[in-house]
Amino acid sequence: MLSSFKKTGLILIVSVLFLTLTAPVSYAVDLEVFTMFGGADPASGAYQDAISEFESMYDVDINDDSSTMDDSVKVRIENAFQANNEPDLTMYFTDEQASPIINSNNVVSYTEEIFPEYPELKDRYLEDPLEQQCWKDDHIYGIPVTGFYEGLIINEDLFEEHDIPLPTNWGNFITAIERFNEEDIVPIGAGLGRVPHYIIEHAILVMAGAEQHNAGLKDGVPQGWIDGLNLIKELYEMNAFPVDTLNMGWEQPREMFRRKEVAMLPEGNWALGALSENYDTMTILPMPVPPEGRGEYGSIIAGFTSGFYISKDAYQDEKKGEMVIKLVKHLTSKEVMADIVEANAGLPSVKGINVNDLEGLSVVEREGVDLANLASSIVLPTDAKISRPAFQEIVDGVAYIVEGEKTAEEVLESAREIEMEARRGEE
Amino acid sequence: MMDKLKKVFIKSNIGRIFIYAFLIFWALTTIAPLVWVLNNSFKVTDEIMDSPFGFAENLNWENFQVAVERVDIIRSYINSFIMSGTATILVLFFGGMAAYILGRFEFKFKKFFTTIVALGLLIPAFSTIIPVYDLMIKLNLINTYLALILPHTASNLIFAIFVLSSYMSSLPDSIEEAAIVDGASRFQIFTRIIIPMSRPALATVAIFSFLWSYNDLFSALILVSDRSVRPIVVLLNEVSSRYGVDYGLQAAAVVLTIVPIFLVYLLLQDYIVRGLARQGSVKE
Amino acid sequence: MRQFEDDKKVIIMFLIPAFAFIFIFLLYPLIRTFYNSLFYILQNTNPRYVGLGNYQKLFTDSGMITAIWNTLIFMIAAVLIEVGLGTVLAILINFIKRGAKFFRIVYVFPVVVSAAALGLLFSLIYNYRVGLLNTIISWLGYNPIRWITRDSSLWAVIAPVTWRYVGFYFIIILTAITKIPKTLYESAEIEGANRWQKTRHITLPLIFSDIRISIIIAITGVTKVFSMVWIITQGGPMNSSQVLGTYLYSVTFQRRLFGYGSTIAVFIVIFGLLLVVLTNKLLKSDDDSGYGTPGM
Repeated sequence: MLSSFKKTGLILIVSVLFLTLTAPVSYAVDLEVFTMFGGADPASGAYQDAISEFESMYDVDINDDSSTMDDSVKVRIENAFQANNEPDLTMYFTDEQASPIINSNNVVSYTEEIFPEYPELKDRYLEDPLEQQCWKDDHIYGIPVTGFYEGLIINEDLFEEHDIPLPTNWGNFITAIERFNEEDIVPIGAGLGRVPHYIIEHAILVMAGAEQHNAGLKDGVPQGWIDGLNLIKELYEMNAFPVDTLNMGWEQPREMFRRKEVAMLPEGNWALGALSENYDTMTILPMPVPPEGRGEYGSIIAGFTSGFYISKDAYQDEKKGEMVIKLVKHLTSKEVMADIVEANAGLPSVKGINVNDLEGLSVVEREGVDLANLASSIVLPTDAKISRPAFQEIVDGVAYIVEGEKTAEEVLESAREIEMEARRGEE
Repeated sequence: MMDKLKKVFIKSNIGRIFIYAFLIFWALTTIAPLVWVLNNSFKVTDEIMDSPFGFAENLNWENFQVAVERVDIIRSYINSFIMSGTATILVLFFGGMAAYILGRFEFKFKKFFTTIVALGLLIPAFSTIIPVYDLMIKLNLINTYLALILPHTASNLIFAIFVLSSYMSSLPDSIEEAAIVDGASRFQIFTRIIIPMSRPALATVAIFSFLWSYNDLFSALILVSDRSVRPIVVLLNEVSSRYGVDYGLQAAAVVLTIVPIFLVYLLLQDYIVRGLARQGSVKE
Repeated sequence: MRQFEDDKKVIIMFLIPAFAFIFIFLLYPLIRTFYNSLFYILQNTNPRYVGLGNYQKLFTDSGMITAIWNTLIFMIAAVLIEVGLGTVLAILINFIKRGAKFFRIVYVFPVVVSAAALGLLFSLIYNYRVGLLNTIISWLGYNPIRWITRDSSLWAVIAPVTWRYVGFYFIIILTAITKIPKTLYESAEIEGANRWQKTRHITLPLIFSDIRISIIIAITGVTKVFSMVWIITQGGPMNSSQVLGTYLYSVTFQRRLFGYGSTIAVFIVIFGLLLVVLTNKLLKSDDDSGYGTPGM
């Protein structure tokens, strides 16, 4: 037995070394690329097509490492930048979550280096999306892909069937909750225990208004944030959420919405793709504002929070430098962007894309884009405003607040402490 | 009274029936999930949600087709086998050697080494993954097979040493003594006596080392994420996404990851059984 | 056992490869983890030295305290169910002839299937609307029940996790039983011993060290329980099913507090080591009075 183990062992070890050491066929340039278009992302097909097209245009091999985002993948990317092992081109978040990427000093500033040399790259972008990418030091490090928007996704047919008016104002919204409860349909789909993110964002937006929402926590806890979290408690006490909401993530509420067990779903454009079979019977509306709310009806949560980062090493590399720019130009071209928009129902960031010309978009997806385009104001989500651990403190706190174990003030005060600790190192 | 009951229970067929009833009950609990997963892999999500525990109405292979498109499945199987297989063999070799020493020798620093092993059992993977990642970058091994083989070998060695040294320590001394009289060296004793006699324990260690290495999605996502080297478990990650829930697809992915390891398990299980038969202490 | 002059050399040569692996890929990272535990590190950037600050935080952090308590309860359940039931099944299987091979194979199934899949399975079993349990309950004519609440969630995760590992300890104990010479049973049979007596006086004493090893592996294993708990409850509702593994994950990977996460990891190692020492002490005394080593 030992000798057979020995043999297989040796064979395996040798083959491992062999496979590890042999380099694949060589191309003029090898590029390592990471994007968030992995797995079941609606745009992964459009992205893969764009990559193959690029490979057929140039003597280049794209080593594509795109994967579905979860916390461990995010940590890997953050660490790759810290450890000087970043991909040549990375698509990643450009909001607060980008700080480990940008602080690593391993990405090129478009403002300083790339735009002066390639002004056409800057020119192809719409002004707003590009401006949103400005980091705290007024540099742009990542140029945007498509934008997202959030809203109240509505199962219109349920409203019609039970003769309930659409929640276009607060009164209707409350009526809808009461009426759906009578009909044994869950009014609002949300997992307060695990993924209360969307309801937090919407509740704070309507209660705090854009200005307080954007203030973050550094100058104290805004009253509007407290009111926002208390609003969630109020809705919870009205039985607006599923009975087991405290043990739900985002998957179940969405699944229940798809199966018409839920009437209203606060979520983002990425959910629309997953709900394609409901296209004919759903619409998307802004979250209504309660009378005491500081928000304005029609103000929505949206933005451009992901972009392409170019590695400094790659940019300064003789061969890679030029190729990586070519790839960025290709991926941000009008044609590729239009394909991506069509796939993920996101907001275009480059000029010349008319959403109404894209045949692949459904009515509700166009309504979503309109919602964003016609919004009275656009606000980035709460987690783009405060540090990661502080936001998680609020997320974890929601269950305690709605159950009356902690007050909104307590949770936000402790989130603020965490925020201040996180910011202490910044200066 | 108790004694009498005990006698009735043990001697009679009633006792046997109870034993079988209990063993069968437990077997049902362990088989049911497999059947459930396999069954659901042939359903679309709606069918799963409507009757999560009902039988699939017809064999629907669509989930498997979609799953196979997500990853380069043959390549991933090969990657998995190379990485987990190599790690397992290294574990058996080096673990067997260390266990022989710790199980059958007395020496000065023995306590030190046993403490290290106990310590090793306690080190949480979540806290070492980032230092290991940095180390792999420094060694220029990230996204190579070794990036996963080396840490997997280390963590499985701990378990291997634990189980093997306990097993080896209670093998009778007489056989080893006889070999010494015959003029065998320590190495010969190890390879010709201890290893063959520890066969059932080695097979047990092999099974679990392979299983853990094979099923470790977390380290794989961080250390070997590249398409050319990633193992089959990443399929599980590729089918779960923030864009939709597809229970049927997830079940199909689970089936695809289980099938090969299942075969390995049955193969190694045979080693244990043969070991048992040879040792002859268990009545077949 | 000192038959050879060069045993020292043998000892060194045999230990080097295994411990080289362990030192480089487990202990060195652990030392790095300890070093990190002295810093405030957010998202692995800009470490700021805080001395023992993180350690002070450890004992005022209510999430942490809940996790410690839950882990202790979990450990007791793990020893009783995983090792206890595993041993019982291993002994019972020695009493039967037919079907033994079948049982041996199927009992390990839950360990073969990935934790992610089993987590999903149990989420569906507990599910309020479509779950197996509520389906049964509605057949019986009762109203559906919320299975995962603040009071029940810990047990709702202990059940599937311990169930999963029974097969693992079953195999370990079964393997240990193989080394008992058949002759011992035969001579006992001649003396008229029944199953119970053979188990009590031969099997159990001879596999005692393996049971002890199993208990230690089970206790230390609980400090690492993660996947299934994360998928079924994510430690909630309101931390009620939080264990050390899930709390470590949430601090390190959700909150990205690498420094504090490292502190928790160091705590887990120390905490576990204490429990191992304690277990060893408790079982040692038992060991001395409980069994001789007949024939060995």
